[in-house]
Amino acid sequence: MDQTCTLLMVTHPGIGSALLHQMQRIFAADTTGQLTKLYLMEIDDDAFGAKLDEDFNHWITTLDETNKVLVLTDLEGATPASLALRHARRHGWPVLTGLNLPMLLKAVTHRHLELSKLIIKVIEGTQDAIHILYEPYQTD
Amino acid sequence: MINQEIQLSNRLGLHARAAGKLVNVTGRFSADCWISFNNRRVNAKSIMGLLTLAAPCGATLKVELDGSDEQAAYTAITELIDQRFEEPE
Repeated sequence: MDQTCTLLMVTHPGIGSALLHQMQRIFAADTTGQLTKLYLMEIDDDAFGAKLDEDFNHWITTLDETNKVLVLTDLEGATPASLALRHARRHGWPVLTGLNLPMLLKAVTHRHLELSKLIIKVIEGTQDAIHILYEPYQTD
Repeated sequence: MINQEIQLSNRLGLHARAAGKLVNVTGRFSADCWISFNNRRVNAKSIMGLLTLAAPCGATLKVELDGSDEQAAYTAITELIDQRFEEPE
């Protein structure tokens, strides 16, 4: 049985697609399946209403796998995150915010892990990726 | 245990796409694989680790392999690097 975690990205317009595009470039020679079961829905910040929930729900039902799922969204409290959270709660899927390229890379390359371990790996890896690379100013 | 040095000759060095290709290669083998540059040693199966090396064109990477298929892994790694990660010159 395939134990690869399905990743759902729910972001503002342009963010998820840019990340996905970069992943496709990085894993152009994908021989280990990093880019399978990686889905994206971009939601306008001013989108609302029952139709949006209906469309989102329909999208979820088209996915191959609904057992081991991790939802990645960009900004807590914004429309995409709120929508994702609403639906993820019904399915019992964990949701992480703060999606960026390091987070997506971590999630994709450790998707074989048990979900709770994957979440820790993704959070730690993303936090490690945020640091001062160059500091031109001396501070006391 | 294999412990060798390889020089990067592609124009952009170990950038994201090159690191992605390298991880695709190292991930096919069971041997442990470590790459060092500038006194930093990372797991060569981790794209994030490889990117932190920030190794430019001309950098000499130290490659360490340990496992039953280490020789095959080393051959695949050197082929990829020698082919400049299939990038144009």
